[in-house]
Amino acid sequence: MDIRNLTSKIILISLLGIFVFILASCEKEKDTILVDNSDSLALDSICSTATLIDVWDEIYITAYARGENLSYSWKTDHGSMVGIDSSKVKYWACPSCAGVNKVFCEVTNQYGTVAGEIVITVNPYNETKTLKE
Amino acid sequence: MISPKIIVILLLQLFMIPSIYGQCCSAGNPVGGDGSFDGLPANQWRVFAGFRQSYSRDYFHLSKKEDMQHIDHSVYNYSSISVSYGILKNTTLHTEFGYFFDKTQVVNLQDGKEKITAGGPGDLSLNVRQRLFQQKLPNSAQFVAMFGTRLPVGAFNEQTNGVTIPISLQPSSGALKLNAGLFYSKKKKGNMFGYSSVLFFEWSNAIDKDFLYYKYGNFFSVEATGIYSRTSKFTALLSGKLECRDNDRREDNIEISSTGSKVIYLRPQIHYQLHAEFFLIASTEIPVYKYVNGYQLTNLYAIQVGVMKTFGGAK
Repeated sequence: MDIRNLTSKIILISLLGIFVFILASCEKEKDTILVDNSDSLALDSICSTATLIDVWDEIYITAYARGENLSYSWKTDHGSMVGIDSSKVKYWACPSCAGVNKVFCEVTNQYGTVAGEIVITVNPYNETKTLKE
Repeated sequence: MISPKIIVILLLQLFMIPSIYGQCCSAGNPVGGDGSFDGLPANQWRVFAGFRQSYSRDYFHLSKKEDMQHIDHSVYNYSSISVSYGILKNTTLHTEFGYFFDKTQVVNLQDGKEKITAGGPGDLSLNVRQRLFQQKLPNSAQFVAMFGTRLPVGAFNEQTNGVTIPISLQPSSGALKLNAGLFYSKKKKGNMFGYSSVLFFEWSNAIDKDFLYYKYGNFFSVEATGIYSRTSKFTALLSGKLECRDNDRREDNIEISSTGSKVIYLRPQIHYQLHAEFFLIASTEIPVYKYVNGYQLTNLYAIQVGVMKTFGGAK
């Protein structure tokens, strides 16, 4: 193997390594810094139409917050959701999402971010199915 | 004129279709880069650009179709580009990066259909292939060991109207994965028939984010392929593949019952030489036997088309 060929391979490997390092070290998301409830921004409660449900049941979860220019961000560890309006979502769970699940809500305005969560328990699908039959 | 050796290598490249697997709520993620395992001659480059569609529809319980209409269907449209380079005589580097045009699930809710969709870059696949054994023409054969990783560099926080999309629909799997494989192939010069086989294993690290702990189950596949090539312009392949996936786990290492499966696929493929070392590849993947733990949405079909160019290296 000549020197030129060897050099090009070393450069290639180095570039590949740098590329992977940059990708791997990319900051995917910034940690949200939470603030305490105040008159300018507060999340008073998160309520659900039910907290014990069967697989495929549909429930509504609402965040009650105070403040101006509020934006809401919802996420769950297991289950699916769609937004009804910014402060309200519809939640359901497929068979692999049975268990004790959490739904998180973050409310943000110019004064910061407040957060809360609610626990939704989803019965295993085989139990649900047996009872319905 | 392409040498028979190159033709054989190109034939082996026909394995390049990503595997898929059933997931509860989605069409799954492509697995294992572009699926190719063969080694290239030193200084040879190979570039593949492909498009893949995967469609999932039916719920299964164990090995039987279940009457469950809550999810209408789930589909993804995925494009990818992969580059392989023979960095040494018996060592090949391979990388693949893909983009999901969309990853969609249509759900039948009480007040109508709801479409949940996400799109964006997928995971980055990197691997090294070491040729352990190579038999020269006329009995061209090779035995290759592969070690690699998939890095979760893609989009994993996609939202719609302020609601984070479920992980099964996120473009990235969200987890670092390590994989290893063995590949053997043989095709005699002048013989229309050849064969090959692949063993593949993948281990996934846990996703441990602020709101989520999730660990994909171990993945194992074994595949056997028959190759038929009457001319250098056209080749047909038929593969049979068994894919096994262990149960996924959630927080406190709780096993998720409706995950994990055993699926047998049939995969017919064609390979057509468009010009010189420029090839068109088309394939489809059809599950012929499905056994799932619990209740899971399963794959109906996947199709892939792509073009491949090989250049450089020993002719």
